[in-house]
Amino acid sequence: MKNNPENHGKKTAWIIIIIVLIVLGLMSVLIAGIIGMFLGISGPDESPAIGNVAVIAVEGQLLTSSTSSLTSKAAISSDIVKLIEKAAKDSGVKAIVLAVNSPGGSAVASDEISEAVRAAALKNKTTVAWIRDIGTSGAYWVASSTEHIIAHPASFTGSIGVISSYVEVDKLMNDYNVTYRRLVAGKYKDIGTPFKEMTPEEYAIFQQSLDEMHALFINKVAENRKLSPESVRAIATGQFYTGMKAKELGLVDELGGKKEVENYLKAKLKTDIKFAEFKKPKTFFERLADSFSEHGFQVGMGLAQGIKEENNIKVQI
Amino acid sequence: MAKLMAKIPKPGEKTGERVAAVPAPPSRRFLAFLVDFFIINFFIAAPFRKLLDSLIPEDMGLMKVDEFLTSNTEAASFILVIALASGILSLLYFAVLEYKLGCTIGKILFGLRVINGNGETPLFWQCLVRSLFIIPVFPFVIFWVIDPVYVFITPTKQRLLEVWSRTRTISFVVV
Repeated sequence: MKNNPENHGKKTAWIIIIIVLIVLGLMSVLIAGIIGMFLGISGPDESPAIGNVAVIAVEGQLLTSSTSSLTSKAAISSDIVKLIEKAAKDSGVKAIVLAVNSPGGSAVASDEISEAVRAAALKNKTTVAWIRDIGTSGAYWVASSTEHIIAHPASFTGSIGVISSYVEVDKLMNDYNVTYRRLVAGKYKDIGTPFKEMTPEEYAIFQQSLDEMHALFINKVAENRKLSPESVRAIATGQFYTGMKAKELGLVDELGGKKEVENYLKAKLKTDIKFAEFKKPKTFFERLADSFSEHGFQVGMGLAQGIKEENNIKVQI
Repeated sequence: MAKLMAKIPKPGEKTGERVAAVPAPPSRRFLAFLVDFFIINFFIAAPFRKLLDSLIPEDMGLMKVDEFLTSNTEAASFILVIALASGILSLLYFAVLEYKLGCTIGKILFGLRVINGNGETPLFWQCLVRSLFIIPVFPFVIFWVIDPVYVFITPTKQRLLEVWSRTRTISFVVV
């Protein structure tokens, strides 16, 4: 029976079928994983964040779209909004903590994140801002939309103001006989160009725009912090404050760090808490860039060390 | 290949009945294809499903998907890549099994075989061409309409791709 040619043929056929299915299955998992890396999406085997408190980092300059800068870190509002919305939809998440470490940035980006935080609060999520090193300007706008702000005593916050300064180079150009050929249709079309001196009229227009934005900022903070616009306007000189001063002025609720965040949430939620970091997965290219920059750093370190040993030079990195 | 084909017992072989090879009935071919489709869905399509779910927003109706893909070209490009990848792997399922065994799992279950003009298992290129319809991108999706029509209008019940690849799908009847 065992050596029956019919059974040998059938067995071979089924072995071939099983091998083909296994190979194709493995190939599809591999290809899906590679595509997922390019997409920056976690693969089928990666576990989702587990915890009842979502921690979302707001780090770097607040922008509405990514830049190609290799040196500066940016907090892209659409990415952060997506994370906030994801946490708000998650029934297991009871609170959202924004870990703020940002000097501010775009007013639009700040407001987009702020609105997402307010929307999350409407879904009964407790929202907390935890200001670490710095949470000024637009970052404070974002923090103010949470129900409780905890700032480190040595942090910088506040700076409720608007800036649009730039360097005028028209006099430098004159020194080098460089001319700015003004060709506009619409007399204010080149307002703010550094190549000519700003006229008093243009200055007034620009300043009006800045004042409008400042008023919006003040009203948003007043609404979020349940303060009168007048009291906010009095401290909205653009000045930044230490965490300690900000507490005195009513801009933050509590001084402290992660421990204080934990204690506040435990008392508010009346349950044990577990932090879960919500972050945007890195795309394949971002991971590649990270590994190149790490590799480059190590090569540089090695070269410096080599030069030091060869020349008996003190090198500090 | 002919030796391997000879080792797979044909219906009636044990009982000594006389059997003849005839063009496979469309209904059995369809059922065999359904079985293969479910197998492909389980082994090959499953890893890509999560990627697709994350690309297309939840609760989006079919009518809105087209609008979404038109306005979101990056997502559309990734969906195309996913469709191509899963399509090629599905094509390999049909092509490799039909090349090696003259049939897929679905065809085994419904007693069907694939042969070339010489009555032998087809060559690899023939197996590839006859299954091109499985790739879910233009222009291959045209065969989703043309192939079934051809089955009903040709006396040999061949799909258009079977005509081009010079292959046939047969079943056995007792005569």
